Amino acid sequence: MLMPKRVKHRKQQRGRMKGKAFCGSRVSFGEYGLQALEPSWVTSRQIEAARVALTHFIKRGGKIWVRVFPDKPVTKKPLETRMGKGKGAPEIWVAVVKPGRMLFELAGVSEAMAQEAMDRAARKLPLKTKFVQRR
Amino acid sequence: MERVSLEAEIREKTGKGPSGRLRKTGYIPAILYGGKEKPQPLIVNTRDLERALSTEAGENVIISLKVGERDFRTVIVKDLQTDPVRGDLLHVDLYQISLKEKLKASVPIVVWGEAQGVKEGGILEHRLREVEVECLPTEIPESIPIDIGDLRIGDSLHVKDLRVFGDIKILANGEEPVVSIVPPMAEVVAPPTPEEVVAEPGVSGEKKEIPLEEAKPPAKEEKAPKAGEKKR
Repeated sequence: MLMPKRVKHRKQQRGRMKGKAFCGSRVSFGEYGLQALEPSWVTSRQIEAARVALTHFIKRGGKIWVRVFPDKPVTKKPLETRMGKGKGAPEIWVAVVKPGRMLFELAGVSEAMAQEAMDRAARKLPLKTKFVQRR
Repeated sequence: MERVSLEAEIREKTGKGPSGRLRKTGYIPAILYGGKEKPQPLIVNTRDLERALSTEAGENVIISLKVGERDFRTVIVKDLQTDPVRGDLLHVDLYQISLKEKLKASVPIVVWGEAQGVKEGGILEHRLREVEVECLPTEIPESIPIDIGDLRIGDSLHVKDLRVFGDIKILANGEEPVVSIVPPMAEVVAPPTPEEVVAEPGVSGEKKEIPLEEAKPPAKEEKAPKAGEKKR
């Protein structure tokens, strides 16, 4: 699963997801893309599941680009622990996704196939998405 | 090169608030610069601008801009801002040009034919979709065609293979690949691990990497209460 090799700080604050993603919001590498329509944290497991769904459907044809990277550590406290005693341990890695962000890109397949593949990938993600084409 | 006309008015109010109110009325803020004059904020009708950009020349269209009642300028679209989700036009940069001076413009590369390598199962990869050229505004090509019919798996076409006619200079590096036919990718399936453990990355600037178990916060040392602090 995707995660950074080195980080400056082990734990981060949660932050906010205001506004839209003006950077990384266009189809830059492939022909088709899957664009986020709402803000969300996407975990490394969800990204991997969507990527596997894409590769599995298009099999050997086409090329895939993953346009998001989970670089934010999310901490969790163990079960049945009282509050306090400091921040929990890092558990998962998430990518902060704002509306407009291109999540995946695809090239080398027909439009119908790309649409179906992106639809399958979208089902693995915790946010609303839309299928887009290069302008 | 196509030429279209567009009308604009001088914009008095600038900033986020007035621009937002302007967009709700069917107009968008624009800025005109280039030449020796100061940049001039303008108002442009969104529909008119969309119509001007819908020609075959795309964003490289030459626009005869009428500012106010009498002022006529020849401009091109230098930058276009759009909403990332809805795709609406938000702002346009208009650059005043002289028809006698050369300028730099990005021209799309259009691929012709079906490559031999694609028929054999390869994947066509576009490395470069636009190329920057230097020429007179009237000579900007709508697109640069490239024939890929003879390409086999592993072959590439480079910028030096692009053919342009007239006094047009391609500014990109000649060795830069434009299209290549790559072999189909193999499906990579990660081996299932018995229990997925979230390994923790190293923290830069630390002398020693701390394993996940040892990375608990150190137990608080008992300190003597400071002067003036109440004892509980």
